[in-house]
Amino acid sequence: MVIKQFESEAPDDDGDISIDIAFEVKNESEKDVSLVKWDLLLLQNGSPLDGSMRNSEECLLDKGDVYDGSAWLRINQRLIDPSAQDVTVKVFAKMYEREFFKLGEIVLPEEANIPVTVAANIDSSLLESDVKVSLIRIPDDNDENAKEHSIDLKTVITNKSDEYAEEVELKVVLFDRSGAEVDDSRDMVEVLGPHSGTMFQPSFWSQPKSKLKGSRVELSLKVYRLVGTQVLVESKRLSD
Amino acid sequence: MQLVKDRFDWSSGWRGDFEVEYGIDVVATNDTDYVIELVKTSSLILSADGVAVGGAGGYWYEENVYMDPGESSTFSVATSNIFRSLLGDDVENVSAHVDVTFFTKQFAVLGEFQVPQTDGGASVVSSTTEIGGIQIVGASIIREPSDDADRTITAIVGVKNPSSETIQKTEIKMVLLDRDGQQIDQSESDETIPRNASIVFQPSISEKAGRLRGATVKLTATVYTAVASDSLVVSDPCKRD
Repeated sequence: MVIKQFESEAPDDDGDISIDIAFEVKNESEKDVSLVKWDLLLLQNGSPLDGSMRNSEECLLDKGDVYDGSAWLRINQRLIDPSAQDVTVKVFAKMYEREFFKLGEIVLPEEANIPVTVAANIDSSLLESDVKVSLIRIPDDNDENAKEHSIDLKTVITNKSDEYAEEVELKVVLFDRSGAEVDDSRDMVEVLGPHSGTMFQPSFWSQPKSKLKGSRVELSLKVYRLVGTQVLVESKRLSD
Repeated sequence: MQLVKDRFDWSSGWRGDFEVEYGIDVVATNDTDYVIELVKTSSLILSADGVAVGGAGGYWYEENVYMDPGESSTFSVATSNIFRSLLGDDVENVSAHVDVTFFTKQFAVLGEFQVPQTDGGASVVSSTTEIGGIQIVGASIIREPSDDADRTITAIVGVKNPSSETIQKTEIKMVLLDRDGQQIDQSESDETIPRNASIVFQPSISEKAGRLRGATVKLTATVYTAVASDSLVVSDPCKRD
């Protein structure tokens, strides 16, 4: 990982100093990287001045490919030691590979309150292979004459591995009878610990009952696994 | 299609006593043979003197609904806040002239394209599709060169309306999928097409070049055609609770 740009401006009328920082991080793993998370910190004499934290971006990096990151920071000059113009830039980057699975589709049942289930078998290094998703349409306010129905889905996802699974997401896309996309719904957890599980419950609220005739949902699941971390520490000098 | 008043009420607008905000809901029963999926509404609000002092309408006042033949639906009518001094002393002595147009929807998948893998590259589908009375004369995808890591993928979709009717709303949607089939992003563009006229839609998506490896683009068209309309005059609004 290298810093490609570090530019600071003289303080403005409020005493604020703008700093542009750009860096690049190379995929040094053997895996395709589909997600990069990074934090960039600026310190002086070991004390934090500012930073750009909890950044996350989807990408696709083959081995050797480079991710470009950048941050714009604004620091008031009174926070900076006037006797020293040197600051330290720290960048923590985490790279993830993605597993993505199409779980299939469910044609909506014609009647309310009748659950239907689709079973999928996924080839995952992190998650249990058997995934069952159930779907039920429920009349609004539990009124059998309701003109609108909600669609509730449920599935249990289990991390069978000794590693953390991150950004685990079940996505459901609702299509009408003509094949046009109507809406989508997602449920996700940021972290699923080793040998743990959770339930996803995406839903669609108050869909016109008649519109649901012949509708279907398509299901997909994605999960990220950490494949590498990189840390950069570099000293830079602010402009006078 | 017959409109029936469901609500006509008023309350003070966001500027307090200076303004009045009117709310109108109407009910319609679909007596056509079409499925209605969009309504466009407009209104003129007339003072006791018969002068239009407000109202609303235009291109963006539309609402997605769903009415099979024989079904009813309730929806709101576009209105605006009225300056109270235009109404004299009696904010309830007004009437609103409501116009509603009902649209049916037709949908078609135009195709799925490989995203060009090199800058300046293009993909073309030459087939012509007819949908909702308009012609979609092929489609193409171009990948624009760039000096940075982002690349812009643009679809070019030529649409001709050879009919003698204005097509109120045609929407072209582009969905970008990565090599595993996960949706990366989507872009939509919609236009009104006058009779005997053509329009070129150009929805576009910018994405990191690396993420476009093996990516595909799915293009769809949705055409909304007017099938019915009706008007209604409502009066005597009541104060909102």
